[in-house]
Amino acid sequence: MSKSFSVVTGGTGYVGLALVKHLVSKGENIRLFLLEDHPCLEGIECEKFIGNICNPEDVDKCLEGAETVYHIAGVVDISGKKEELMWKVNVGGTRNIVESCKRQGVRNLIYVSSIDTYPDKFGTEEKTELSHYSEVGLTSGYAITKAIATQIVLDAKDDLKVCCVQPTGVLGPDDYMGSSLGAMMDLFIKGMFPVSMNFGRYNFVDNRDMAEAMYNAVKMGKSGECYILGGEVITVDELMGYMAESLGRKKPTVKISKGLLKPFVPLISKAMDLAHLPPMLNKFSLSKLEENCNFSNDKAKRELGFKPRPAFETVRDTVLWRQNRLKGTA
Amino acid sequence: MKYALFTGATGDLGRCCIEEISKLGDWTVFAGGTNDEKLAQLGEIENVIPIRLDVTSDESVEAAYEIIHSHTYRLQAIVNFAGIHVFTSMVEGNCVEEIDRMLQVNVMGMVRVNKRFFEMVRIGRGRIINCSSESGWMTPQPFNGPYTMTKYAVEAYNDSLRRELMYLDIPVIKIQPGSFKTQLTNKIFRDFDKCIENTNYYSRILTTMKPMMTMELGLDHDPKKLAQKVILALTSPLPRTKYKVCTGKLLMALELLPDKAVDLAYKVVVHA
Repeated sequence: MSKSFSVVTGGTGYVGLALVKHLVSKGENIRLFLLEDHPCLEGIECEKFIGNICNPEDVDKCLEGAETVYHIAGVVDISGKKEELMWKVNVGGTRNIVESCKRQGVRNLIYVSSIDTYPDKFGTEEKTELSHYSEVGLTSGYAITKAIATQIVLDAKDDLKVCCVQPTGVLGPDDYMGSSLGAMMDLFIKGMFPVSMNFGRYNFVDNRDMAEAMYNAVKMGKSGECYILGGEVITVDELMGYMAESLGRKKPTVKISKGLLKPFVPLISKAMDLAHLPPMLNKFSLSKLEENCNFSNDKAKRELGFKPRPAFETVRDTVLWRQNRLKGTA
Repeated sequence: MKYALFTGATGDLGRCCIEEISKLGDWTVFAGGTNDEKLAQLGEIENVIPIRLDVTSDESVEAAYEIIHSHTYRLQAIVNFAGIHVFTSMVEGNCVEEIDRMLQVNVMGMVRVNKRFFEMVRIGRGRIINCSSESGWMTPQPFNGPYTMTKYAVEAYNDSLRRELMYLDIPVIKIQPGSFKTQLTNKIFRDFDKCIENTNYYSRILTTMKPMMTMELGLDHDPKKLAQKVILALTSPLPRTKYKVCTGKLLMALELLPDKAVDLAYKVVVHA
């Protein structure tokens, strides 16, 4: 590539593919750093580099000549089975990217961190960006590895422009890799999830809004800063209602209480495991629904021009995309 | 590769344990100690990174933390072996200073190290191994009071820590070794002789007790037996709360007697 170009890691993931499509729509030249090619990239104009971010030589080769790197690749695991892989990819891989950016003279690094890096899980106070991220107070391997990786990125702020974006629960179309919530939505679409819950809420962000904010971060973001990309907080029951409305169905009338669900969680979790489904319901995901998800997106709105769309729009587009995919038309 | 921090690595028993851990192949040991010459020798062992570490100094612990943190974010174990022994009367000589110094090394050193490296062990899903002693649970012997005090404190600290960290799924294990013939043993004999020279009251009693002490401390237990237990504590998927190693049989016999009888036994022995 002779023109300036951006490298995207994790370009086939939920956030990555939305970003790739956004960058292409903006006429950007992109090189995807992929572990392997994927059919979802068909028809997308981009250069593909097959390699592993855990291998510093691969990273150096891929980043050579790049102006901007969007580092999205990471391992998400709430089952506790991939802890070592998370350390290798989320921490080791990110360190490789940061070091290579410095060596290769990359000018901008946009890193997708996570709101799981915030230790205060309780209370109702609005949470804003922190100035330092560490493992203290975090329990899940995912949160710990993402917090350490976030700080590795922020520590490079004097060498190049680094910005971290921290999405809440990501929804939207183009989920080819299979997210936990996506798997739950598929069951709902197939009519295999006929109940709602009378507890739990979460903060959702649209992957397309995220993509725009990440693209804007290159020009508008400040180096060494984190930006929470959060949207509307909706209850589980509202989410089910939105899904039903999008499909033109009636909202489930039976609502399960937490007390009723809790004893069955280990059993459901095991059943998901045996059915080779993503771990959509376990102790971890259940506790997440009760955490304080009151995240402020003021900084991202102010500095990145972040414009989160209404949650209903996101849920509707997600459900319709998933429905088409199940029919084999997406 | 798994990582362990081992304090008191320059002692004879510490070195023996580290040699055995190194043979496991999948562990890298940060060997902390204060003797530069012995640290250099430890550096020759495969998978061992010697680190100057004075457990009584916050600055030294912090400096060691920085070095270890530059190698790894996680520790799979802390093994607290740093300890000293002083044989002294509880009323004569510099006993207050001696007890204070021993508490600093044997107890506060452990507290300081575990506190500083706790997060690294937590995120490493690791464990904490504290070296106590048979003196930590046996009836205290005369003139061994300061050491016994520190080891009783280690026992209380360890058990409290274990019941605290069980909520975070971090096993805390104590090792309770008996006597091993090391340089520490020679130092005890030197302290004993010094005590005989400087006492106003116990000269005859201490002289009478010396053969008993010689017999108990002179037991030539193989330090590898201790190393095996440390490895068990380090690697067992379901570690016990404590591992006793080479407990003194004579001293253990005293545990069967009531306090008054033990007092009488010590009295009779020196009048024999």
